[in-house]
Amino acid sequence: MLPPRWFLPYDSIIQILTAVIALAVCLYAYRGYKWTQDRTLRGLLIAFLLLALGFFIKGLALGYAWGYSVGYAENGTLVGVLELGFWAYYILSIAAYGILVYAYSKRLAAPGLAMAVAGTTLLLVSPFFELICVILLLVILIAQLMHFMVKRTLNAEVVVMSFTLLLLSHVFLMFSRASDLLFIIGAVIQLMAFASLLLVLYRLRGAK
Amino acid sequence: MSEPSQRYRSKGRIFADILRAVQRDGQAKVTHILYEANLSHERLIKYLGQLESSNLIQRHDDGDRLTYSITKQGETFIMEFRKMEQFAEAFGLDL
Repeated sequence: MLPPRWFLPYDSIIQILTAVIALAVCLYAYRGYKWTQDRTLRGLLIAFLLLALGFFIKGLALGYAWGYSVGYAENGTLVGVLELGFWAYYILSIAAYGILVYAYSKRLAAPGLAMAVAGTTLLLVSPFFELICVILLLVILIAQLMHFMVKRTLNAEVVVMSFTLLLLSHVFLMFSRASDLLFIIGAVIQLMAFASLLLVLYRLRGAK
Repeated sequence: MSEPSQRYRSKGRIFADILRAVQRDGQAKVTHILYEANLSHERLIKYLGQLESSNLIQRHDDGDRLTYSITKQGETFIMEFRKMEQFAEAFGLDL
Protein backbone atom coordinates (compact mmCIF):
# COMPACT_ATOMS: atom_id res chain seq x y z
CA MET A 1 0.00 0.00 0.00
CA LEU A 2 2.62 2.51 -1.07
CA PRO A 3 1.77 5.89 -2.54
CA PRO A 4 3.35 6.85 -5.83
CA ARG A 5 6.55 8.80 -5.00
CA TRP A 6 5.28 12.11 -6.41
CA PHE A 7 2.19 11.79 -4.19
CA LEU A 8 4.19 11.43 -0.92
CA PRO A 9 4.04 15.11 0.17
CA TYR A 10 0.34 15.38 -0.70
CA ASP A 11 -0.45 12.14 1.10
CA SER A 12 1.50 13.38 4.11
CA ILE A 13 -0.60 16.57 4.19
CA ILE A 14 -3.83 14.56 3.79
CA GLN A 15 -2.87 12.32 6.74
CA ILE A 16 -1.98 15.29 8.98
CA LEU A 17 -5.24 17.07 8.08
CA THR A 18 -7.19 13.88 8.82
CA ALA A 19 -5.37 13.61 12.16
CA VAL A 20 -6.36 17.18 13.08
CA ILE A 21 -10.05 16.48 12.30
CA ALA A 22 -9.96 13.20 14.27
CA LEU A 23 -8.44 15.14 17.17
CA ALA A 24 -11.24 17.71 16.95
CA VAL A 25 -13.84 14.90 17.25
CA CYS A 26 -11.85 13.46 20.16
CA LEU A 27 -11.79 16.84 21.95
CA TYR A 28 -15.53 17.30 21.45
CA ALA A 29 -16.16 13.87 22.97
CA TYR A 30 -13.75 14.72 25.81
CA ARG A 31 -15.67 17.90 26.56
CA GLY A 32 -18.85 15.85 26.83
CA TYR A 33 -17.14 13.19 28.91
CA LYS A 34 -16.02 15.84 31.40
CA TRP A 35 -19.66 16.90 31.83
CA THR A 36 -21.31 13.52 31.85
CA GLN A 37 -18.65 10.88 32.76
CA ASP A 38 -20.44 8.71 30.21
CA ARG A 39 -18.62 5.58 29.01
CA THR A 40 -20.00 5.86 25.47
CA LEU A 41 -18.31 9.23 25.10
CA ARG A 42 -15.16 7.80 26.70
CA GLY A 43 -15.15 5.11 23.98
CA LEU A 44 -15.57 7.70 21.23
CA LEU A 45 -12.85 9.94 22.62
CA ILE A 46 -10.34 7.07 22.95
CA ALA A 47 -11.18 5.73 19.46
CA PHE A 48 -10.72 9.12 17.80
CA LEU A 49 -7.57 9.83 19.82
CA LEU A 50 -6.05 6.57 18.55
CA LEU A 51 -7.14 7.41 14.98
CA ALA A 52 -5.63 10.90 15.28
CA LEU A 53 -2.35 9.43 16.57
CA GLY A 54 -2.29 6.83 13.79
CA PHE A 55 -2.90 9.36 11.00
CA PHE A 56 -0.40 11.76 12.53
CA ILE A 57 2.36 9.13 12.74
CA LYS A 58 1.62 7.96 9.18
CA GLY A 59 1.68 11.57 7.96
CA LEU A 60 5.03 12.20 9.64
CA ALA A 61 6.49 8.96 8.24
CA LEU A 62 5.36 9.87 4.72
CA GLY A 63 6.73 13.39 5.11
CA TYR A 64 10.02 11.94 6.34
CA ALA A 65 10.19 9.54 3.39
CA TRP A 66 9.64 12.45 1.00
CA GLY A 67 11.93 14.91 2.80
CA TYR A 68 14.85 12.48 3.13
CA SER A 69 14.16 10.75 -0.19
CA VAL A 70 13.80 7.37 1.50
CA GLY A 71 13.61 4.72 -1.20
CA TYR A 72 11.20 1.82 -1.35
CA ALA A 73 12.79 -1.63 -1.14
CA GLU A 74 13.23 -3.39 -4.47
CA ASN A 75 10.41 -5.83 -3.87
CA GLY A 76 8.07 -2.91 -3.21
CA THR A 77 7.91 -3.34 0.57
CA LEU A 78 8.31 -0.57 3.08
CA VAL A 79 11.59 0.16 4.80
CA GLY A 80 12.74 1.73 8.06
CA VAL A 81 10.83 4.72 9.39
CA LEU A 82 8.15 4.42 6.72
CA GLU A 83 7.51 0.81 7.72
CA LEU A 84 7.34 1.71 11.42
CA GLY A 85 4.94 4.55 10.62
CA PHE A 86 2.61 2.26 8.66
CA TRP A 87 2.72 -0.41 11.39
CA ALA A 88 1.83 2.16 14.05
CA TYR A 89 -0.97 3.52 11.84
CA TYR A 90 -2.53 0.10 11.24
CA ILE A 91 -2.25 -1.05 14.86
CA LEU A 92 -3.76 2.21 16.18
CA SER A 93 -6.51 2.25 13.51
CA ILE A 94 -7.50 -1.36 14.17
CA ALA A 95 -7.56 -0.70 17.93
CA ALA A 96 -9.72 2.41 17.34
CA TYR A 97 -12.20 0.60 15.08
CA GLY A 98 -12.22 -2.28 17.59
CA ILE A 99 -13.23 0.12 20.38
CA LEU A 100 -16.01 1.50 18.17
CA VAL A 101 -17.23 -2.02 17.40
CA TYR A 102 -17.29 -2.70 21.15
CA ALA A 103 -19.28 0.51 21.73
CA TYR A 104 -21.82 -0.66 19.15
CA SER A 105 -21.80 -4.26 20.43
CA LYS A 106 -25.07 -3.89 22.39
CA ARG A 107 -26.81 -2.77 19.24
CA LEU A 108 -25.34 -5.45 17.04
CA ALA A 109 -26.96 -8.81 16.52
CA ALA A 110 -24.94 -12.02 16.42
CA PRO A 111 -23.87 -11.69 12.74
CA GLY A 112 -22.24 -8.36 13.43
CA LEU A 113 -20.36 -9.70 16.41
CA ALA A 114 -19.30 -12.74 14.43
CA MET A 115 -17.83 -10.44 11.80
CA ALA A 116 -15.98 -8.52 14.53
CA VAL A 117 -14.53 -11.77 15.86
CA ALA A 118 -13.59 -12.78 12.32
CA GLY A 119 -11.83 -9.43 11.95
CA THR A 120 -9.86 -9.98 15.15
CA THR A 121 -8.93 -13.49 14.05
CA LEU A 122 -7.71 -12.13 10.73
CA LEU A 123 -5.48 -9.74 12.67
CA LEU A 124 -3.61 -12.75 14.01
CA VAL A 125 -3.31 -14.68 10.78
CA SER A 126 -3.38 -12.17 7.98
CA PRO A 127 -0.93 -9.48 6.90
CA PHE A 128 -3.70 -7.63 5.10
CA PHE A 129 -4.37 -4.87 7.59
CA GLU A 130 -6.56 -2.98 5.15
CA LEU A 131 -8.87 -5.98 5.02
CA ILE A 132 -9.18 -5.99 8.81
CA CYS A 133 -10.03 -2.27 8.77
CA VAL A 134 -12.64 -2.96 6.08
CA ILE A 135 -14.27 -5.72 8.14
CA LEU A 136 -14.36 -3.63 11.34
CA LEU A 137 -15.70 -0.61 9.45
CA LEU A 138 -18.37 -2.80 7.88
CA VAL A 139 -19.54 -3.86 11.35
CA ILE A 140 -19.57 -0.21 12.52
CA LEU A 141 -21.53 0.81 9.43
CA ILE A 142 -24.12 -1.95 9.97
CA ALA A 143 -24.65 -0.74 13.57
CA GLN A 144 -24.95 2.87 12.41
CA LEU A 145 -27.44 1.95 9.70
CA MET A 146 -29.53 -0.02 12.24
CA HIS A 147 -29.67 3.08 14.43
CA PHE A 148 -30.35 5.33 11.44
CA MET A 149 -33.39 3.25 10.49
CA VAL A 150 -34.89 4.07 13.89
CA LYS A 151 -33.70 7.65 14.40
CA ARG A 152 -33.24 9.56 11.16
CA THR A 153 -31.40 12.83 11.73
CA LEU A 154 -29.27 14.86 9.36
CA ASN A 155 -26.24 14.47 11.63
CA ALA A 156 -26.66 10.69 11.70
CA GLU A 157 -26.98 10.71 7.90
CA VAL A 158 -23.69 12.62 7.57
CA VAL A 159 -21.91 10.25 9.99
CA VAL A 160 -23.19 7.22 8.05
CA MET A 161 -21.96 8.85 4.83
CA SER A 162 -18.62 9.59 6.48
CA PHE A 163 -18.07 5.99 7.59
CA THR A 164 -19.19 4.73 4.17
CA LEU A 165 -16.53 6.93 2.57
CA LEU A 166 -13.97 5.71 5.11
CA LEU A 167 -14.85 2.12 4.27
CA LEU A 168 -14.55 2.87 0.54
CA SER A 169 -11.18 4.55 1.06
CA HIS A 170 -9.82 1.39 2.71
CA VAL A 171 -11.21 -0.71 -0.15
CA PHE A 172 -9.48 1.54 -2.69
CA LEU A 173 -6.22 1.40 -0.71
CA MET A 174 -6.50 -2.38 -0.47
CA PHE A 175 -6.49 -2.66 -4.27
CA SER A 176 -4.03 0.17 -4.86
CA ARG A 177 -1.27 -2.22 -5.96
CA ALA A 178 -3.22 -2.48 -9.20
CA SER A 179 -3.07 1.22 -9.96
CA ASP A 180 -1.64 4.41 -8.43
CA LEU A 181 -4.90 6.13 -9.24
CA LEU A 182 -6.74 3.88 -6.77
CA PHE A 183 -4.34 4.98 -4.02
CA ILE A 184 -4.90 8.65 -4.78
CA ILE A 185 -8.69 8.21 -4.88
CA GLY A 186 -8.52 6.30 -1.58
CA ALA A 187 -6.53 9.05 0.12
CA VAL A 188 -8.84 11.80 -1.14
CA ILE A 189 -11.96 9.86 -0.09
CA GLN A 190 -10.45 9.36 3.38
CA LEU A 191 -10.04 13.13 3.74
CA MET A 192 -13.63 13.68 2.53
CA ALA A 193 -14.86 11.17 5.14
CA PHE A 194 -13.27 13.09 7.99
CA ALA A 195 -14.26 16.46 6.52
CA SER A 196 -17.91 15.32 6.78
CA LEU A 197 -17.33 14.59 10.48
CA LEU A 198 -16.11 18.16 10.83
CA LEU A 199 -19.41 19.29 9.34
CA VAL A 200 -21.27 17.35 12.06
CA LEU A 201 -19.17 19.06 14.76
CA TYR A 202 -19.92 22.43 13.20
CA ARG A 203 -23.65 21.71 13.15
CA LEU A 204 -23.61 20.51 16.77
CA ARG A 205 -21.75 23.64 17.90
CA GLY A 206 -24.80 25.73 17.15
CA ALA A 207 -27.34 23.13 18.34
CA LYS A 208 -29.74 24.04 21.13
CA MET B 1 -32.87 -4.17 22.73
CA SER B 2 -33.47 -3.60 26.44
CA GLU B 3 -36.22 -1.40 27.87
CA PRO B 4 -35.19 2.18 28.68
CA SER B 5 -35.99 1.67 32.37
CA GLN B 6 -33.65 -1.33 32.58
CA ARG B 7 -30.69 0.02 30.67
CA TYR B 8 -27.52 1.35 32.24
CA ARG B 9 -27.72 5.05 33.10
CA SER B 10 -24.52 7.02 33.53
CA LYS B 11 -24.23 9.52 36.35
CA GLY B 12 -24.48 12.30 33.79
CA ARG B 13 -27.74 10.84 32.41
CA ILE B 14 -29.20 10.56 35.95
CA PHE B 15 -28.19 14.16 36.70
CA ALA B 16 -29.81 15.30 33.45
CA ASP B 17 -33.03 13.37 34.20
CA ILE B 18 -33.27 14.93 37.68
CA LEU B 19 -32.47 18.42 36.38
CA ARG B 20 -35.07 18.11 33.61
CA ALA B 21 -37.69 17.06 36.16
CA VAL B 22 -36.81 20.05 38.35
CA GLN B 23 -36.79 22.41 35.36
CA ARG B 24 -40.21 21.24 34.16
CA ASP B 25 -41.79 22.02 37.55
CA GLY B 26 -39.98 25.25 38.34
CA GLN B 27 -40.11 24.41 42.05
CA ALA B 28 -40.18 20.62 42.23
CA LYS B 29 -41.11 18.48 45.21
CA VAL B 30 -38.99 15.42 46.02
CA THR B 31 -41.88 13.02 45.34
CA HIS B 32 -42.34 14.48 41.87
CA ILE B 33 -38.62 14.27 41.04
CA LEU B 34 -38.64 10.71 42.38
CA TYR B 35 -41.36 9.77 39.92
CA GLU B 36 -39.86 11.61 36.94
CA ALA B 37 -36.26 10.48 37.44
CA ASN B 38 -37.20 6.86 38.18
CA LEU B 39 -34.88 6.43 41.17
CA SER B 40 -35.15 4.99 44.66
CA HIS B 41 -35.65 7.54 47.45
CA GLU B 42 -32.23 6.80 48.93
CA ARG B 43 -30.39 7.30 45.63
CA LEU B 44 -32.37 10.41 44.78
CA ILE B 45 -31.47 12.07 48.11
CA LYS B 46 -27.80 11.23 47.46
CA TYR B 47 -27.92 12.74 43.95
CA LEU B 48 -29.87 15.81 45.07
CA GLY B 49 -27.12 16.46 47.64
CA GLN B 50 -24.46 16.18 44.91
CA LEU B 51 -26.40 18.44 42.54
CA GLU B 52 -26.86 21.02 45.28
CA SER B 53 -23.18 21.00 46.25
CA SER B 54 -22.28 21.36 42.54
CA ASN B 55 -24.57 24.41 42.45
CA LEU B 56 -26.79 22.88 39.76
CA ILE B 57 -29.96 23.06 41.88
CA GLN B 58 -31.12 25.20 44.77
CA ARG B 59 -32.94 23.87 47.85
CA HIS B 60 -35.95 25.72 49.28
CA ASP B 61 -37.05 24.59 52.74
CA ASP B 62 -39.93 26.57 54.21
CA GLY B 63 -40.83 24.35 57.14
CA ASP B 64 -43.37 21.82 55.92
CA ARG B 65 -42.53 22.04 52.20
CA LEU B 66 -39.19 21.07 50.64
CA THR B 67 -38.67 21.98 46.98
CA TYR B 68 -35.83 22.34 44.51
CA SER B 69 -35.30 24.77 41.65
CA ILE B 70 -32.73 24.73 38.87
CA THR B 71 -29.83 27.21 38.78
CA LYS B 72 -28.24 28.89 35.75
CA GLN B 73 -25.43 26.30 35.92
CA GLY B 74 -28.04 23.54 35.98
CA GLU B 75 -29.60 24.92 32.81
CA THR B 76 -26.16 25.01 31.19
CA PHE B 77 -25.63 21.37 32.19
CA ILE B 78 -28.90 20.35 30.51
CA MET B 79 -27.94 22.27 27.36
CA GLU B 80 -24.49 20.64 27.23
CA PHE B 81 -25.96 17.22 27.90
CA ARG B 82 -28.46 17.71 25.06
CA LYS B 83 -25.60 18.56 22.69
CA MET B 84 -23.73 15.43 23.77
CA GLU B 85 -26.87 13.33 23.29
CA GLN B 86 -27.09 14.67 19.72
CA PHE B 87 -23.38 13.99 19.19
CA ALA B 88 -23.68 10.38 20.38
CA GLU B 89 -26.95 9.96 18.44
CA ALA B 90 -25.20 11.10 15.26
CA PHE B 91 -22.79 8.17 15.74
CA GLY B 92 -25.70 5.81 16.35
CA LEU B 93 -24.97 5.55 20.07
CA ASP B 94 -26.99 6.37 23.19
CA LEU B 95 -25.74 8.11 26.31
